[in-house]
Amino acid sequence: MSEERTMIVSKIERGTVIDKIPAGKSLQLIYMLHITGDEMKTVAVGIHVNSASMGKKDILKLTNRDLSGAELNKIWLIAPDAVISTIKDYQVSDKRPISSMRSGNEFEGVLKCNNPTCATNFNEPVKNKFILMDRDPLLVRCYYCDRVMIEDNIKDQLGM
Amino acid sequence: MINHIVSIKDIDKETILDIIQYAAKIEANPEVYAEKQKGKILSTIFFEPSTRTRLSFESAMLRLGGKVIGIADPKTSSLKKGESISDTIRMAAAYSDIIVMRHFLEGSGRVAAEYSSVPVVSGGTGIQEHPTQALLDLYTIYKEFGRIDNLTIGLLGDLRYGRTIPSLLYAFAKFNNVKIYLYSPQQLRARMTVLSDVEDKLEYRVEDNLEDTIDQLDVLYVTRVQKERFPDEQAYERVKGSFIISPDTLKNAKENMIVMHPLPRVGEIEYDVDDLPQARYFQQAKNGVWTRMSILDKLLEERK
Ligand SMILES: [Zn+2]
Repeated sequence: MSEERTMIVSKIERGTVIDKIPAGKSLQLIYMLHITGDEMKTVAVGIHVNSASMGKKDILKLTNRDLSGAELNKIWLIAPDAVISTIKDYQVSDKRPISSMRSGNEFEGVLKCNNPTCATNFNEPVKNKFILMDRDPLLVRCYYCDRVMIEDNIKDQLGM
Repeated sequence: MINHIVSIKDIDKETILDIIQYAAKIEANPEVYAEKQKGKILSTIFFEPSTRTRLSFESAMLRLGGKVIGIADPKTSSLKKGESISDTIRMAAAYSDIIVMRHFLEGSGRVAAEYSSVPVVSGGTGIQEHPTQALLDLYTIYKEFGRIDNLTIGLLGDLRYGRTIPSLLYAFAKFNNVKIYLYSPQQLRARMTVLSDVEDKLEYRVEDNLEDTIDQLDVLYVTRVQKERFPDEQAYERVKGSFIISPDTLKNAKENMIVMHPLPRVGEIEYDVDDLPQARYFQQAKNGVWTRMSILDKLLEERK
């Protein structure tokens, strides 16, 4: 409960709460989710909030906002232990760790391959697919061509 | 078994051994297999020309009693007009029972496999991999030593862009106690991403000098060093000489060491080496047919 009191907005009517984000990573996530502040939707950001399980953590409360599959993948890249709650009528209608919402180390829909001679860059109807190799810093491999991309190569694409 | 062969990474050690041991059975009694795939059709789809690989697969299918159709000349076919891999493969899958494809793009093998309703065998995908070349190379080594484990293998030449090198390294990494010596010009060293894939499973050393270490090798695998890979003619000329194998190069080699080369060669191995007991590259090419018969037959049987 002490966490809740540190938040400026305690309850939202409808939206999504992203909890258990590694401390200090929430701003990065805001950029990655393209939350600009222009949408006239309330966003509450908790940075370095006390947490029983993590010591310190970040938390995001997004009103009237759902997450797409690609956005879940983005969050998972940065915050693999995040807990996602869906809020309806001020009630938590669904609450799950992100790890249970997707499986394996592969992810789709987030990145394009930066190998200019990768078949996925040539008008094929495939979805880009990558394998996560490391998280801090990010290291990913294209499932199709085996190209390894380091965090510096993919920052722009991720909006980091 | 597996449905497609587009990367050695997808194939486990048992399957590799299965393929090469079956190749040995076929080689011992080819007539037994002469009608094995009667009525089946292989499509060869080559977005990039490769006479040897294509002929080797065609020979393999014909020796199994099957038939072959194909697009061999990308310049005059629809392949040049930008037809996608996925469309081409779906067309080929409608006409045939199995497909061999070579493409100049990395990742093309996985795209093809995704869209094919019949088995796809890679005949090379950009600089990424050339899995069947690696399998026939392993068959050649297995025939010679009766094993892949506990061997010391020298890979020499263009280890960066040579598409067989990653396939070979991935394959050796599945066996026990294989030591790899890597000899190449500095700018053609094996890609870090490939080496990092195998470093936990394979002992490899980047070596500058073949002369000092050749006495430790069981296999010397030579590949082409192409002029186009260098910024200018002088840079090429400077390193070229260190990567040519002559009878003199081999004077300190073990008696039972073998010299391999995927062919075609352009001067990396002098003609004088051909008559030495170590030369294995022509047998290696012949082994390609037995290995590809084994691969085609296994993939086709798997679907029955
Ligand atoms: Zn790629």
